[in-house]
Amino acid sequence: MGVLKSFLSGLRALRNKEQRSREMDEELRGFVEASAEEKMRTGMSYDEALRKAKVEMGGVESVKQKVRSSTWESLAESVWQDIRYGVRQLVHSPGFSLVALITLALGIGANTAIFTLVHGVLLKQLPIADPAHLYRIGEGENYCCDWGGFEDDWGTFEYPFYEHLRDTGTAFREVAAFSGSTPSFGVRRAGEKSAAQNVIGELVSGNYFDTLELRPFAGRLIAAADDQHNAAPVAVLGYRTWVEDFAGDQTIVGSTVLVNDLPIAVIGIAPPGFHGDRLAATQPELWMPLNIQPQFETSGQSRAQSTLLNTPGDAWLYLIGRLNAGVTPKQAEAAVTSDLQHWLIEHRHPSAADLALIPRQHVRITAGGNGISPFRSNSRTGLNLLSAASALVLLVACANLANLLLARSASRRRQTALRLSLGATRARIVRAVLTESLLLSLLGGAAGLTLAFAGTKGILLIVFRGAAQVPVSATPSLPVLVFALLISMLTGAIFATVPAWTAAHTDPQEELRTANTGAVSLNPRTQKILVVIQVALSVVLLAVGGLVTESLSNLESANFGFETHGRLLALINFRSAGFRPEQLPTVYRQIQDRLEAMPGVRSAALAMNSPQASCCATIDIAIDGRQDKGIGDIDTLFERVSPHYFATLGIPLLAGRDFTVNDAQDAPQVAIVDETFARTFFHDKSPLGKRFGMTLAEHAGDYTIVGVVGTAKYRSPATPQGPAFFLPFTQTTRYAPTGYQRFEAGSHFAQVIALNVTGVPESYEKALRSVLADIDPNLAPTRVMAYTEQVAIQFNQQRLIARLTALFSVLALLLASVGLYGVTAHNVARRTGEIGLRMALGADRAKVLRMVLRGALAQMAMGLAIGAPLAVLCGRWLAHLLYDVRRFDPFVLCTAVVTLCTSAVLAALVPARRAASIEPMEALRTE
Amino acid sequence: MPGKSGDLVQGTLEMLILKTLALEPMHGFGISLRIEQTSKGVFHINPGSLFPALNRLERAGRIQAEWHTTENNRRAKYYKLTESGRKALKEETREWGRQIAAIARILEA
Repeated sequence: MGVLKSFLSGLRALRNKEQRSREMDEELRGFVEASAEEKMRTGMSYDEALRKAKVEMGGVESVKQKVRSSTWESLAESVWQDIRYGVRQLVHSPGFSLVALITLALGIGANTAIFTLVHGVLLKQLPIADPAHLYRIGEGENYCCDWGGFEDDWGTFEYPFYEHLRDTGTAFREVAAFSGSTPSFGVRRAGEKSAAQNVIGELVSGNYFDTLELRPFAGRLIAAADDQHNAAPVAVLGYRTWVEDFAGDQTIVGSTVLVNDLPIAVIGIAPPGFHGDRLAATQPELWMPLNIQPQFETSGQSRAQSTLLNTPGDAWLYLIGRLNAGVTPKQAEAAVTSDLQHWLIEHRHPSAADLALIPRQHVRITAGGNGISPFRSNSRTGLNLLSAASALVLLVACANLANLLLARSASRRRQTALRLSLGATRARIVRAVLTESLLLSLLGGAAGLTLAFAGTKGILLIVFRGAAQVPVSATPSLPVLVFALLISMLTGAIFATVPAWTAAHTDPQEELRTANTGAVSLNPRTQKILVVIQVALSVVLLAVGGLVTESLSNLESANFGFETHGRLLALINFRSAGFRPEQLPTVYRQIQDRLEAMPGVRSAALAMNSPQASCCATIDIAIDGRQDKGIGDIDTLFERVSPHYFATLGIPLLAGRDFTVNDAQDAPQVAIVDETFARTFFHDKSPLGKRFGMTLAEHAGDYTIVGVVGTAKYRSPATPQGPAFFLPFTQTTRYAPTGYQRFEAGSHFAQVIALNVTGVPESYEKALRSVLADIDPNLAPTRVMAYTEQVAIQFNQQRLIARLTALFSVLALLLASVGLYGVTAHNVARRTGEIGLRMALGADRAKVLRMVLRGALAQMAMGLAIGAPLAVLCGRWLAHLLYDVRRFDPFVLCTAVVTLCTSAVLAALVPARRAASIEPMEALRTE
Repeated sequence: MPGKSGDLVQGTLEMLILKTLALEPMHGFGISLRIEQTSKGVFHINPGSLFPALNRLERAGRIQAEWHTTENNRRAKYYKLTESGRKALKEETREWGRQIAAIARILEA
């Protein structure tokens, strides 16, 4: 009430300033006259009384000022004055303002861009109701199909256990499940003959959307009744797919679409912005109930017998849930862990060895509100590194600005002194300096935000190169805007402290007495310290940038064991194109023959996976007739390929033979192994003719080894890769209804077509597409690219980190050089007279040049002395993030030091030459 | 300068003004004179303290100002206690009494 009243009367006073001032004058005049009359009563003369009364009053203006300054609006008014003063100062020195703004924009822009990434990747919550109270049951993103295996720290679960937890668990009020894999489905409207759209799909439990508390954009979402055995098959479309692939046609709700040729009713459209529960380059846009899964089983026999729903041990589901009121995540963790342990004992019939492992099995309850993201886990350290690097750039920028302001405040000392002696308080002077800095930093922040927006777009293109859609938005959101504002203000406060302190310690008398020539006196030590800090930080950044870049180039030039040049790659989905397993061998043969007949194509092949595609299934194997311990524990990479695969990718055949058309179903089952496989399992003996198989009774001798090929790196060079074996598409192993059966059927779907061509690989794309369309109109590759592109995509993240740290280090170097130049130039200007005197007394130009350079280089040397050990420390700390880079790399450090020295010398040379060209007579005359 | 108003215990000036105005509306000099006389010259309120205090009180709604003609036929700004001012005076007087009594007890202990 009182505050409001005071505010309103303050506003009134501001509006009626003139009138108020007149009233005060009148009132005070009245006061003086009344006072004088009173004094005349004691016998004074009128003149004397009036004079005395005026003396007692002590000046009308001073009283008025006191009245005014006792109100809040006077503070607002003087702040406004400061702001106008600040703007005038900035406008009056456009050069200074421009340099300061560019520096700020770069520093703040770099930090804001990185923060946008950090926010989008690490902090952002799912667009669902109450994300803070959504929990994930389990942790980790390695979707594994470790059937029967113990995960220790569990992340994925089998369907029967999910049902058990959902129906009997007490900790959670709601437990929902969704499939770990997000396969691509071919979707088209029933009755249309057009090619199917490839849409990423996800199977979800009936209570999934309820658990996330989502509302449909149109129609309805999947409900518990849809997720029943024999329920009518339904699907929910993602908003983006609905807009992009189905032209936003409302009539699709309620109509039937063919999903991999299976008729399914579309019941609704998910809300805009919802892309499922994970942050990845492939986000689901089609949701179907878990119970639909058996209908997508590929082999006819397993459809009836074994499905993902009833195979014990097939851990294919992620679980999320909402806790019951009053249950803490810790309690839930204990409950679910004990539940799981009992379940394993009861349903897995563990062996004695496995029984001993049961106490180790546990489930963590983790925050589920920002979704599941392998990308997040992988990029955390990288983003931390980038945040640190951008913060360092900002520090260097701050030092630069402090220097600039310092130089300016030095030239303004007389003005400050004058203001002080005319009655301005020191607080007021400091406030003016702060206001000006803040103004500058806010303007810089705005510019930085613009820069960050453009920068983030570029960054995202690098990170998600090759992704169908980018899951992180570059558009600044509210948190990003707040961040930019805060960091701008912080920056302003930091770089203003030194000049503000200097301004507050100006001695007006001293200043006005000595500063009569216009020459600027300033103790340059502060400036020099700032430059030393800049040099130190820059050398650290340069060294780190160098190390990360070296790591990237090591990765990119690593020996992959296959040829990336002259190869074209097409990603394809036979399942969504509607092929049944029994049709596959014929169509593969047809495709291969047609492609190899194309002019310029040396060879063509199909494969389940391809090297350097963040891929691969690993599996445990058994060697026929061998019981050695440990064989079953080696993760072995499994791949299925067509004939000519090795020739097409340039993987050398070291012994034996390639697959041929004669390796048919009725011929003996054959396999080719890689060099690592041969060495790991057979040491120096030839593996040819030896037999191996899956770790199932009666399957240990399924495959006879007929060839050995060189080891091709399927995984990133930075991760170790186990032995690998290859099976032909033309042979199928018959398993009892287990996970193996499904795996066997699934592995017959080729996902990759590779071509070995002459000339530019991309130029074959059109021919390739038309050959495929000619064979079957539904056979449209989801992506065609040169092999080099696929390899490049593998290193997206490392490339981003390397490019950005390199960019940041160059920025820091640039800023530090500008800083060094500024200080040196300033010193030369300051010492013009002195230099002139020295020259008049016989110093030659070379001597002057050396003198100035020596000063600049001394600062640089000090910066190096501090920065180089820091850089070495950083290198050691980073070593585990880097590929094939030594913990101490003298070459990179030397390069950083040399780069810095070169730019420092260049930056110092300009003012040094100016110093050397001073005309002694002229200099002395101006003194 | 005789009897600086700085000698006043902090915060008491506003209470004294309210008390002075409780008798009748007055103009600035009147207030100053009355306080000086009543205190037998111990307190001398100079305009540099008086007017900011009047301004604050007016802002807070404890007093109201109106222009009137004085006995000498001049225009002067008269200040008048408001209802909330009267309440504040009572409150402050009581508080002041409590403090004085407490201080006295400490000094005599």
